Amino acid sequence: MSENILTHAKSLYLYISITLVLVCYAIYLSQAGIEGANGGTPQGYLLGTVAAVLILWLTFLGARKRSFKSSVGSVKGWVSAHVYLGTSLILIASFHSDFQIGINVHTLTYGLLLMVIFSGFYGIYTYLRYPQMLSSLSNGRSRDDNMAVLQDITEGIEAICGQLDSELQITVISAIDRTFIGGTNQDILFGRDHSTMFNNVFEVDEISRADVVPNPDQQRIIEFVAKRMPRGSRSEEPKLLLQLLSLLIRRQQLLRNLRKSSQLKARTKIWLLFHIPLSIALLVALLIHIVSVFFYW
Amino acid sequence: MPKANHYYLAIIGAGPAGLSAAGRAAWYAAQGNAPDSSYILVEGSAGLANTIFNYQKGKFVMAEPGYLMLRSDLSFQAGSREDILSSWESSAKSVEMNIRSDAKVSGIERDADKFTIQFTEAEDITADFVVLAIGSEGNPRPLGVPGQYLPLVQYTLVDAAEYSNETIVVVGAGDSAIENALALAKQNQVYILNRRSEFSRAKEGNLDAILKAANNKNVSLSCYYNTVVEKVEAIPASVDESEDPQYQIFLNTGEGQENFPVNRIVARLGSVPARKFLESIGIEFASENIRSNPVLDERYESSVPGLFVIGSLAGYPLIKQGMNQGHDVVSFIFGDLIEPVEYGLLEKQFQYLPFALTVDQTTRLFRQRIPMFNEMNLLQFRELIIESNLMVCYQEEEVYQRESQRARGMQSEADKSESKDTKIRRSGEYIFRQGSFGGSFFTIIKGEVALTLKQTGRQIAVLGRGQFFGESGLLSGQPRSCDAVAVGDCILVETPRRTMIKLMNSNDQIAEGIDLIFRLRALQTKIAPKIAIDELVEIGVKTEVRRIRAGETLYEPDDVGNSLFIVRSGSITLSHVNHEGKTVVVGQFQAGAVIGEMALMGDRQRHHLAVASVLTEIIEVEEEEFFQLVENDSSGIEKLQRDVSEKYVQQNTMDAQPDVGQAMQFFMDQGLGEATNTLVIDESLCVSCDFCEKACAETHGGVSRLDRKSGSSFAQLHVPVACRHCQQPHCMKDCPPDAIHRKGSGEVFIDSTCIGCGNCMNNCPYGVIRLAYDAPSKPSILSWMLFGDGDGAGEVENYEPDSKALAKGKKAVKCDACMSLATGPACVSACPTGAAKRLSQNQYLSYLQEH
Repeated sequence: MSENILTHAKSLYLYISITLVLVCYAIYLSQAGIEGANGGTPQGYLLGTVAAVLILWLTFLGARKRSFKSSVGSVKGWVSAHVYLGTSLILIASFHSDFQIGINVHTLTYGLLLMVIFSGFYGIYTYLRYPQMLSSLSNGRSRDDNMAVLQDITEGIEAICGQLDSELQITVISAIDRTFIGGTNQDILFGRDHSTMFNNVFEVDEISRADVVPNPDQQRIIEFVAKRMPRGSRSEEPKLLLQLLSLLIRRQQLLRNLRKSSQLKARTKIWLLFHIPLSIALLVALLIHIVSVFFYW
Repeated sequence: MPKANHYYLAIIGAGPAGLSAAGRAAWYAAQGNAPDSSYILVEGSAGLANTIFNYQKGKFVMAEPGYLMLRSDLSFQAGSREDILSSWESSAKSVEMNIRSDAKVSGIERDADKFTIQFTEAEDITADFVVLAIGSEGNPRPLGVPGQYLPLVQYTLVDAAEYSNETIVVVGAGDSAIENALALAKQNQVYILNRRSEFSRAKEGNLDAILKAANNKNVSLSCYYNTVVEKVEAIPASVDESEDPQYQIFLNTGEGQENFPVNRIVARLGSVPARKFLESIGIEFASENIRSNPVLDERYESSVPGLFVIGSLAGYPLIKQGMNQGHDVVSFIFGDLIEPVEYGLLEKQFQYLPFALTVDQTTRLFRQRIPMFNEMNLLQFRELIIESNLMVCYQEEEVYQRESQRARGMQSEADKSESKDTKIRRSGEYIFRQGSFGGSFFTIIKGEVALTLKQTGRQIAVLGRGQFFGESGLLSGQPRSCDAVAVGDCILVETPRRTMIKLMNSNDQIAEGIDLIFRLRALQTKIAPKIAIDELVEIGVKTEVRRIRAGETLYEPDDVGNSLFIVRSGSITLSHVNHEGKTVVVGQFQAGAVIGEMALMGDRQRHHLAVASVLTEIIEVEEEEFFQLVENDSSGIEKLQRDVSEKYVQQNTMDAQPDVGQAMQFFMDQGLGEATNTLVIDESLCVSCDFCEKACAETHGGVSRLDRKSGSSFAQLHVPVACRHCQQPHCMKDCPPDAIHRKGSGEVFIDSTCIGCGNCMNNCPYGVIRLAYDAPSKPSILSWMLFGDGDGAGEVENYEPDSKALAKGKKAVKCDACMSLATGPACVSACPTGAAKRLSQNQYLSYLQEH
């Protein structure tokens, strides 16, 4: 397996981060006296400075990533360091605050920091997990390839429908026409399927009417056709229905595949929409936190 | 023959070369010292300079090569297509040039004292001399049936929207026929005629489109398969001038005959190569090679006395060259033996030499000393020297300092950009180094050059006057196989690869000579290192070079092997069926490798299937020659045996890792067998952030040269559409201004002299080159991050080029592997997850094993 961001440079930044945390812990423990540990002791200030510098450096990744001619380390190395040093901040910031929680701007800063870090954890998960899932889902085919296959299958279904009775025809075609792919960002992210189809096709004054019912995951139309299988009216019908069923099931698989791919791709991007704004909020809170502590002096 | 139809000189083709020739002929006529009806310019199309006319509107035409002066009665400088055409038209008008347009030549015959030129639709003319300047594209292939020249038959279609409500028959099954038929079907009833039962020659997109259109009742287009045209006739009784068709077409549909009235026939049957036409006149070509040029003497006269060939048909594709030749050839014909314009260029080049000789004397000296140069005609020799760089090496520091100062002085006097550099070097400096890329070819005029292997320091050869080196890089596309160092004072000619290729295509003796030396040196380095080259000749001539197309088999399992092979260019994949019945790749060998030697040094039976993964050349050494070599020099055998043992281990290791073998097969299927530097993306790490593309755009003026999403994938490996820097770059084949180069470190790049012709784009089998306008400048990344200005990093989709970019025109853009960046390729260094890697061939195996 290739080296990923966690195993980069034999996890060098993991060891650096562990060392940093141990050093900070030692500083934390060195606090004594009447007041004990606090952000306001010399050690507390030192730990706070370390944490603030780390936060600034971590947010600088956004700029480094886009300095395409920069030769300061590799971007992959920066990302690896970002992950481990960012994680170490949970402890360093906690040492700085001596685990004190309150309802004030200081705790807000601390809370935002944790939120940024945990949204990052989700990002790491998506980066490590989803590329492989996506790759095996696509199995070497591009989205365009898949869409072309989908089109072929659909045309095959339509061709068979032409030889079936009108109820079957209308129902199956309605399921195809009312197949739902994509949709809003939310639909994609949660893999929602709003597909529908006609049901109970009946004729009134020579005009076909029908109820519209949900057909999530194309399951209902498959069951509809399967149900018709043993009740065929003409001698060729079972054969045609079998072909139709097989195409519908292939289509179902393909749609699942496409929906899942879109969902995974959306998830690999969505976390940044939390991670980045939260980071900016953190920077603002951090600034207020630092300025306000000067008033305690 | 009436005198009115006889001319002293007939110039055929009113392109730049023909126009310039006619311009000079008009000048002679105006001087009054030419015979009556002295010349005629004949053109098959309606206007002048048809090729340039067919350029897209407003296209900027370059005036390359810059170092060459224009010598013509017509003016020509870089500018828009319209400016150039109108300047030529007004020149032609002002000298009252004698032009016959719309006159398609159907044949040229020569009898005792004159040429007869036949036309498809006009009376013959005769001429004492003929200048052919018809370009190299050839003429459209005619229908070849009675009625083929009737006015309703046309061979091009400029604008389909011009025609409506007509019945139109399109003949042909290629892409242009399909595209025309589809465009015409919008407003007309169209029938497309295919001689075969399917459209197999067409691109997939066109194939789909035509089949869909044919099956769609709403599109007025239908296909005839297995159908040929029998004849086209005018409808006899058609007297009224109405819009009714006045012709009818007779078809043989395979099921019987059919005929119907038709307004228009568009025949798109490809083109007849100009070569066939020339051969029908009796003009000889240098070789069977399709790219070879007609045999011409230094005055452009062909093997048919009195018939001259100039311009791109003669192998000179640039406008300025053609115009100069037009001027010169007419001067020759009218009896002025002027020096060609290139003469001045030679003078410039020779002035840096330590000789006090005239151009003629130096030329003679060069040709005397170098057997190879003697094989060339003067025209070829002149071109070779002009396109080459001279290199002078001095042993003594004092002389070196003095001469390089003299050269610098002269170079600053002359316009530096317009003259070729003559390199002044110290002896003992490297001429080239082992491992660096380079296809240029060196000929020794004076002195000696030593070739040495880097690893062992062993000297392979010391070459002297008249000998040459660098053929390995030239023929194999591989990096240089040794170091080359000048010994003592010496003078060299360094000829660029493309000049050599052109020369080899047009001169069989030279091609064979270089080829033999390549084989001898291969035998020496691979098998018998201690035998001198001269002594290898006897055995060497018995070896054979074979070309194997991609996918063709070199040998099969169970064949009895009685020869070994040295891969000269391309690559060979070895595979076999393993114990599970699966086909497994067990080895991949690129240029320089020896394969099949196991049969001569172990089991005689072949165990593998050897297939060329790209177009490959191999040198075959038969058993007898091999053992003869080994007997005479046993010093190489040990290494060969050691390599065989290593190969057995490696092949069996591969056998035990079928996944690696399959992935290797995938690489080979993607054409990576001819690559030197390929972008590969590990899909298990790629998060689709597109930073590779963004980085590419940001480091290359806002235009990305790679397409991550496209390309092929297999087993979590993705080969995106990005340049692989091929061993023998297809893109370099046909670049008119010679704008594509390869750096010593291997990067193939396009320089600023690109004229945007698109040849490289069409020649690239991997689709990695495109034509693009310069992208407008964007707000900085910082102001995007802080204030949201612009679109951030990366190429802006469908960006609007500014007026400057529009004036410059579209230029070819491709990956240059970020040769100017210290950090290496930006696509790789910008990848946040390490998914993007660039690999050379010898890294494939370890990469795949790790993967």
